Amino acid sequence: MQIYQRSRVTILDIKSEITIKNSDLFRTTMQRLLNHPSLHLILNLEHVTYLNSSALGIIADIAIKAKEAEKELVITGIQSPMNEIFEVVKFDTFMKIFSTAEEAIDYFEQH
Amino acid sequence: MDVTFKKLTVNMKRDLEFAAGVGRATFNSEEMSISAQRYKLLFDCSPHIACMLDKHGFIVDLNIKMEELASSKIKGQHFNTILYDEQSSLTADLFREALAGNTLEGYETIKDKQGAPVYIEYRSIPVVVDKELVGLCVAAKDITEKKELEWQREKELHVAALVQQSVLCQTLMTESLAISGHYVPAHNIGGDMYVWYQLDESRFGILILDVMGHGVSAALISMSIRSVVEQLIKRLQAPDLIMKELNEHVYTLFNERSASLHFFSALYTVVDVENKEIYYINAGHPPGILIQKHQCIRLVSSSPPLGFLRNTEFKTSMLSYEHPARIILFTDGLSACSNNNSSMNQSITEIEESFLANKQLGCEEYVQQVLLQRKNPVEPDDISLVKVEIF
Repeated sequence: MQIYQRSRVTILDIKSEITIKNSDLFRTTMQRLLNHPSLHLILNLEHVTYLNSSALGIIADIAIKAKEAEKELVITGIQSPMNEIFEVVKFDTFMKIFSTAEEAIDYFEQH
Repeated sequence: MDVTFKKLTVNMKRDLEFAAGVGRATFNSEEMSISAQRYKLLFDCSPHIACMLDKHGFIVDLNIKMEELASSKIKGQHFNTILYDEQSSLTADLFREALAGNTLEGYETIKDKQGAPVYIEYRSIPVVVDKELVGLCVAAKDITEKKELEWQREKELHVAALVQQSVLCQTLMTESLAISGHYVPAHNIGGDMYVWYQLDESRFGILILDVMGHGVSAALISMSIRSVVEQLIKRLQAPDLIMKELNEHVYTLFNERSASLHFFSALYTVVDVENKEIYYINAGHPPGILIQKHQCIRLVSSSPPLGFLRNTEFKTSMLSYEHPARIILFTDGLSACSNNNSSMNQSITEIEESFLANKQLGCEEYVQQVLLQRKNPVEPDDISLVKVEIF
């Protein structure tokens, strides 16, 4: 899990699956992402093949808290078969989802 | 790991020989080197029980803790005499393995002074001097209290599991339809739940839900929902109002004052057997399946799970059906069990094909079949399956 900056955007890259073993670490890392001064936050899941329901809850929780703090968290790089899960939980109804981090950066640059 | 502490073992060998010869475990300064005295002190004053066995299994020395537990009289006796249940013990076999020079770890039940069982977790280390095994050093931790707490917790979880199973609806059989379900928690208790009620002469409400996570916390939330759901379904009747109230319930109760987000996916269906219509709302839940005329129609999700957002709008969808028809509802623990679990869609197709191929297939039968065939899951999950048979 690595946090880095690209222009005005802060990106969290997840490099492994999220299971019960590392979901606490995922929560604290997401909290660190939220606490970053940047207003534009990206959660990049392009290397993630599995995440459990707790991870979904953490993402939704941070997305909602970001909105409350007048920030925006978006998700990028959801791979198959993870896209089916995101389709079911309808994350797109309350946060933006992009295919790549570049698309998300473009979106933030226009806003 | 084969541990050979040369200096230690030289002293131990002497201790073993000496103790075996003189039958006592105290040494004066002339008899022992300073180094050996240090090890002896460590051995004697250990907060855990420890003893030395010779290569025939006789206890040649024991520390203070072990004396307090089992009395000094066990010195000189074979270790078998302190086993609580020699018949079922595997320690004799393990002892032979230890004599081959292996360090072993395991659990055993020994007797205390009064003959009462004491549960221990031990490690036996071969004592090797000049490539010759002269005995074993056994260090053990008394885990009786921990064991008793575990049993107590297991008993309580067993009772909780019975309570949770008891609140699941039993098979409902009417002239127009039959509803049955089967639930297998990943642990004793879990976060899945299903209920159904007859709303009037021709309408039936069926709810299946899956609380995020597993175990006690998920079960508590699921039971909290269970306590309000019957009244909500019967009072409000309209699926969108019921979902809205449930969303408010879980949001207010668990998320308003909590640091972490609690949520559940749910699929609520109303079957109107008079008008041959199904009304449903799927909130972040795997699709339900309507099976009729050898075809499957999926009842797909149209909103996020409940508890995510305070002001979620829920839209009711409607399907018409022809008699006879079946509706299959399940939680994602079932679809994740599929051997082709790389894709949820493929797993759901497998479920559809199974029920299409076998009209008589029951919930318990199918769940058991899936459990038998499943590969090791990344994380075991609760499994629920509900079948509505419309005649």
